[in-house]
Amino acid sequence: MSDVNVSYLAIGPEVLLTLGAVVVLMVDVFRKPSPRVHAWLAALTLVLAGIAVGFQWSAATTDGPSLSFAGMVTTDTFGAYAGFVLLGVAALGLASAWGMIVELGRRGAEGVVLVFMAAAGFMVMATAVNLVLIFVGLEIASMSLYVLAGITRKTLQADEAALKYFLLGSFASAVFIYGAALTFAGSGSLSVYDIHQFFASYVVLKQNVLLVGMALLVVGVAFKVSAAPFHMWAPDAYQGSPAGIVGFMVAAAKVGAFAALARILVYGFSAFSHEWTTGLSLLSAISIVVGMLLAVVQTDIRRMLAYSSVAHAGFILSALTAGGGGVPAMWFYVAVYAVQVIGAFTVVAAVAGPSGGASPLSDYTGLAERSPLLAGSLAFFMIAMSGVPLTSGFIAKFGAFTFAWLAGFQWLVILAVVASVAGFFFYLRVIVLMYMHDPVPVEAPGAVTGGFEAVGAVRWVLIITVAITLVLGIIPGPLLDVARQAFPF
Amino acid sequence: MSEFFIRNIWLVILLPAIGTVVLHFFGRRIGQPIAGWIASTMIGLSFFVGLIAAVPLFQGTAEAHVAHVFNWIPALGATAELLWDPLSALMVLVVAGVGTLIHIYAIGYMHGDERFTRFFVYMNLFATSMLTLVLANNFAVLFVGWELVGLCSYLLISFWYVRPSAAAAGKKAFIVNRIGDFGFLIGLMIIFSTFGTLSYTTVLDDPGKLLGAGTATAVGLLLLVGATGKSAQLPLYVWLPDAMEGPTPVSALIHAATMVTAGVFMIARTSSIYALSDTASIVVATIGALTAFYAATIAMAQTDIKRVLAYSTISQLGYMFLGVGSAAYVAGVFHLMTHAFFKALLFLGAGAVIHGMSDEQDILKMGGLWSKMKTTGVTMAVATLAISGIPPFAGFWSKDEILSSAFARGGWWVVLWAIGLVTAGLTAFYMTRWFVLTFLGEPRWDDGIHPHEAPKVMTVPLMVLAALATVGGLINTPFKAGLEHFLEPSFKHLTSAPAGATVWLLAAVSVAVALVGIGVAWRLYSRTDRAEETWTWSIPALWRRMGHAYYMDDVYGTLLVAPGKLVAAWSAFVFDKKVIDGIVNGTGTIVRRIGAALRPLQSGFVRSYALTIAAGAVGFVIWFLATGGL
Amino acid sequence: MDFPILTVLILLPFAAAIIVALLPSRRKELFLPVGIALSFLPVALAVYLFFVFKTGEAGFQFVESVPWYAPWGISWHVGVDGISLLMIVLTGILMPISLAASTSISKRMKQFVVFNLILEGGLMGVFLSLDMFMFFVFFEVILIPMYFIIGVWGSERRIYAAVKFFLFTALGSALMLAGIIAMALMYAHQNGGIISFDYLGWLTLQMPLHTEMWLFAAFAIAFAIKVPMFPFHTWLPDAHVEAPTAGSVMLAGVLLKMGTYGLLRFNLGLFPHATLKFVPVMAVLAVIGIVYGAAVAIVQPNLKKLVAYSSVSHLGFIVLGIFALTSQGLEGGVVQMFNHGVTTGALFLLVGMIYERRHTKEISEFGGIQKVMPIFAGFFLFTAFASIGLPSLSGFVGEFLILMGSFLTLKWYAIIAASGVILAAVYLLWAYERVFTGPITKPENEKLLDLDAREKTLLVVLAALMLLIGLYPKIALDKIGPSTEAVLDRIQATTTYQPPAPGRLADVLGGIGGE
Repeated sequence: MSDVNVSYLAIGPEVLLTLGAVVVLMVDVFRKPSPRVHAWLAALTLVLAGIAVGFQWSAATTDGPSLSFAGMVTTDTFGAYAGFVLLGVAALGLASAWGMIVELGRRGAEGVVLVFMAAAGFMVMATAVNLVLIFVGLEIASMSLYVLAGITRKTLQADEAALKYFLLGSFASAVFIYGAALTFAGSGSLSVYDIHQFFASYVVLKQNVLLVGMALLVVGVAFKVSAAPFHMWAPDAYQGSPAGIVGFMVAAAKVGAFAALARILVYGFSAFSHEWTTGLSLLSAISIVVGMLLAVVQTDIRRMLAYSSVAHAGFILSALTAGGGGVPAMWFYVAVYAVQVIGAFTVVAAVAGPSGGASPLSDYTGLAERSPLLAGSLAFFMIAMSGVPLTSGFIAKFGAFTFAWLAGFQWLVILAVVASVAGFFFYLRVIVLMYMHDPVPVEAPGAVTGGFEAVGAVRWVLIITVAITLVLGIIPGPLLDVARQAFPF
Repeated sequence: MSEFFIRNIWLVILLPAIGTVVLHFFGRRIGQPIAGWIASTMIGLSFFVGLIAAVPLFQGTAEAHVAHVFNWIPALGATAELLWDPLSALMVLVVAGVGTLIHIYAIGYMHGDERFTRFFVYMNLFATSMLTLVLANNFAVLFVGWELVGLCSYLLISFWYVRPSAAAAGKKAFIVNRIGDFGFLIGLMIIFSTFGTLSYTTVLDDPGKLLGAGTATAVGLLLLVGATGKSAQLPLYVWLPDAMEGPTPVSALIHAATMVTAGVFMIARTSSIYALSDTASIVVATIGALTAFYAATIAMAQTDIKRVLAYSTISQLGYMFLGVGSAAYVAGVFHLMTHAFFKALLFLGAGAVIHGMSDEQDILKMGGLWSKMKTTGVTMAVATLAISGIPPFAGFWSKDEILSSAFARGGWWVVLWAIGLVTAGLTAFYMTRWFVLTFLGEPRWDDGIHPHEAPKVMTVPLMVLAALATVGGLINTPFKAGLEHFLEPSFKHLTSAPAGATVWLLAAVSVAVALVGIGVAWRLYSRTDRAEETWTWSIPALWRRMGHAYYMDDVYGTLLVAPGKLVAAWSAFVFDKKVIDGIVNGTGTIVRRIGAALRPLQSGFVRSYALTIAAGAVGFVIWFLATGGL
Repeated sequence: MDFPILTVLILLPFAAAIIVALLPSRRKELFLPVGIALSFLPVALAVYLFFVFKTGEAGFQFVESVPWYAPWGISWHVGVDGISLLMIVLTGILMPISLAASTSISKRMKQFVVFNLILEGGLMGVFLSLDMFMFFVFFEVILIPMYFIIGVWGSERRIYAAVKFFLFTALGSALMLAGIIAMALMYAHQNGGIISFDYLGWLTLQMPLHTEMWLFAAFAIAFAIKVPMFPFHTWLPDAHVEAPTAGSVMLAGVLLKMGTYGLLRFNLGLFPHATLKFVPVMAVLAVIGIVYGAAVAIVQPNLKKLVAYSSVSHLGFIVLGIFALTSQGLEGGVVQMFNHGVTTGALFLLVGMIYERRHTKEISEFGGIQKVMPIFAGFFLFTAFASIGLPSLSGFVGEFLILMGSFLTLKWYAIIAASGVILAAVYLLWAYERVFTGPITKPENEKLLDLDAREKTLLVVLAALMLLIGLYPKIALDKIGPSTEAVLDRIQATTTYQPPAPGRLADVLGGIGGE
């Protein structure tokens, strides 16, 4: 295993993304191009990366998962799936943030670059099988996200958000790396595969060390997926960061982090599955309850969505309580949620202005009258997130709950279904405001006027995200099949 | 001919039904008075159909015949089947016959009313329903008729809906009847659960097979509850006096001659069940006797020309109950028939008077109409004698047969006979009072009123009915019990009316009592016009109570209606709003409260966040160690 | 049976919704007519189905089954039997009527029509699904259009009503979802790991009594809220009062029936043992609902609230009939579902019509309007008597069957329930008296116009149905009977339960007089 075998395919997507980033920067430096050029370059990069991931997938499906770079990186359907989702997320994220990037003008390119780097980082997280490499990926991604959070440099709020995110993020990273260290101390290896082997072949002596290590690893990742009680950065960060990019921040982080979590626990620590499933069930329960309860009392839609993403982290975790069996459900959930959240924040951005600050719910009063498309799609995402059938959200929840129940966590399922009823309350409130209240007359003080035209890219992002959410709600089969294949271990 | 009609006896029901439908849709275009004539023709035709179909029964050549029309609710054995036997034949003839006369009368009476045709739609609908009721061979069908006549009664009482009192009276009638139906329904439940069907053929043939005495009593009493509602007996009689709000022909047809006798008919029809339980029969008879007396006392003190008759109807129905309760079913049905004649006559007469007095109804403001309205006067005199039980008028024979049968039953029934006898005296008294105050003495009517005789279309029916009220009783006399023989097949267990000397003795007694009643009334009222004040001073309190029907409406109002509304209001506005909805909305509030309580944790300070993360991490580690076993 | 009639029946309304949605927004005048026209297709198909449906067969007909997502055992499995048949017809009939009654809708007509059509599709799906996943999907989807219909086009307190409606019912179905998942996994457990949501498959499940009772509860609560049974009923009056006419008609007409249908189809079907255990509970709640609903209806100052509470009472009858576990009771229950849909639908139409004229539903605002609106008054009275249960009109057939049937097993309950017959007369006739009779008290009412041709047509259709079922119920009962009988047979086969046979009952009568 340990002989260095270089495989460009294994790191192809990441390399391409990085190259793309470099190219964009170069072009930007030497000839001041119009944003259009950036758009084309970005699109090209993403397409190429996508093709690369495609090759990874086919390779993995034909001749199984393969290790490379001295067992640091693996090429398997699991990683490829993450790659697909991340690229999609990046594409949609960029499109919905395009307004902001244009607004940034000279520094617009940086936005593109940071998105690419974040995506690349999370891909590394998903494909790496070595705790340190996972950590590296985590850091690359996180750094990019910290900067993205504060990229506008306009509002004090944004800077504060970025700083908070950075400080707490690095704190969590520290926890993660400490966990990795303890794991090494316990098992004598940093490779997930070796840890697996270790459990298989030796009588475990330093069990507690390993347990603590595992716990800290989980905490480190739980922070990234904003699971309670490690979620507190999320509302501030989401509220402060430019609306255009928040969707991407949430979605990408969820994908990468859950990929790492699943790989580490399900494969590496399969021997401890009893401990970590119960642990995750607890984490899941707390996240669901805290997320729902706090979302109910929010008056700013971004904070509300932040808490709802906490709850969703909980739902996704509930799928993982079923151990390996739950991974497909987790994958499905992560993918569809990523799409929904980007769609939702796209609307938020359109309403608040791409790099706008706060988004009080009152801005949405009577939106249906002013912009049917925005209101309609936001309403649809609310319905999807609350888990009403014929949307991907329902299938996702359904899958997660089924596996949780199967794993014997009935209490968690019942808690979850009841909590999702509470969830209806605040998701519906947005619809109430948009559809059931008449719009605030423009003359009236505090009435929001501008920014209600879903222009160009935004329009397309909305149409695509809505379409995906709806279609997957009616015909979930294809994605579910893929998700099932994306679980090689 | 009659074979055909017997096989298709449903024609009797269909004809007025056609009338209803035609008039409902084209009545406006047809207009009055033609619409009235069409309606009368329809019910007249069904009378003739009935007549022809009855011929074989008269000859005694035909057996009872059951005609299956269609299968209605199979699971309940509720088939639309009709029974053609002497009893139903008699009822059909009475209903359709008297009905026809009243229809014709109404053409004159309702003349000029803007909803003339509507009136006849309802009248024909009533005929349809009533004929369904009497022809039924299935409790379900009976119930259909039972409810539909209730509906028609509701529609016709509140026919002049603009008068709030009329609307209220109609509603009251229907609801009180529903209370009776509640009992009736439960009776049907027991019957169904016992026999698995509702068809007379199975149930009434020999109920003793499956019906234990206890259950039979239960069924008997429950059916009685229904009967007391429909036939305005204690304690459910309260709706009938108010029903006088309806047009007078309605009072005559529905609230005197036909519908109100449905209870009597039903008990007679189910005689085989009552035969199983003396308890039930005694209760029936007792209620009958008490109602007869009670209502008679009230009738004495009424001053509204129609209310006197209303209470008198209640009283007479009491006689019928006494009859059927004494297992003297023939006598009961006989009185039902004669009463249909003379009471219809009385109401129509009253109608003629009201018509002639331009809607004056207070008999204290009448008097001296004899000269103005000869025909009406004479016919009313006949009717009065008939109801007072003076031979040879119809009422005498039937009432006397009831009393003698009750007497003959012995024991408790003798007491009831005594009550009946006294009531006979009271009846004679109040009817004489009624007649004298209306037709004799000095005119007391307000000036501007010019009494005049009613038109032919109204007086002719009066005369026909007067004739019937005179000779109608002769079909069943101690000399020749024609009706007895005719109805024989319809009833199994009959108490044979006493024979020989007893009959004549009893007859003599009751005639004597009647004469006393007439005499007293005559003496009091024919002398002076101030009679009412001059003699009632001796019993003012009692008289007032009688005048106000012992304030029974107020009693019900305070004991039942008011508390009921209170409970309803409480459950609606306190329990439902405060308690249940309180809990519902409360849960929502609690969720929000908790959320709000958690909010301060989100202080916005990095240090506190970091602390939470650290705490969470530590907690998590501990948890793992705990579960992972140290 | 190549033509997938049931699938088409479900998808047609959705297709119609899409067509309407694609109409150009500026052609406002088109939305409603097109919507109505399109909604005739389902009703035509439903009526056709009613007549080609093989009478006297207990099982499901026109069954179609294609896997939806095989690994999860989800399939598109539809079928119709005597129980669902009438519900389909009812849904089909009421939709065009309630659309045609919505001409006064002023804002966002397009969305209104679209939501109504989606609603219809969902309802068809609920009644035709034989796959529990599919059933749940439609059961839940229905909330959305109804939520919008109440919330957007309702009156003053519409938002409170809409949210209350949504959360209330969502809570119920949330627990049912847990139950469904549990059942599916239990099936997998008992059938070598093959997970399945097939209703017919679930009928074979064996489970310990306590499990069965838990699952019964999970389902029963969901349905009891939909029905709604006391004490889960408080969302109903609010929803009805605020909803636009079309919303009320569909809500009372069909949506409530999802509850009773569910109880009959799933609780009785899947949990026979638990059913026997729960009979007392359900019967008590049903009877309370009957009397309580009626009593509360009496004193309502608002016409729509009155009708809403009357629904609580009537639905109580249906539940009682179902849990009497006698063929008469079940038959009556099913036919009464249809009847109540027709009569109450008509009542809400009528209230809507007067509301459009006077913009109030307060009884005190009216009085004596029979003088100016005789035809309207006539229809109202006719419908009222149908709902009071006057023989020869539809309401009676159902109530009579239910009372007779439930007396066989639930004597005292049936007796108490019978008192509802009185109360029904009280609240409806009293309301009629106050609204229509007497002199006209309010000047506003003197100018009221009587019904126009359109309104008459709508009411005539429903009135005809009331008369038809009232006079010749066999047309429906013959199709219902075998299927309800089958439900009973299954309970009999799987448990010790013996349906009562008629016979001497002096002994059981206890109080009334055993010899």
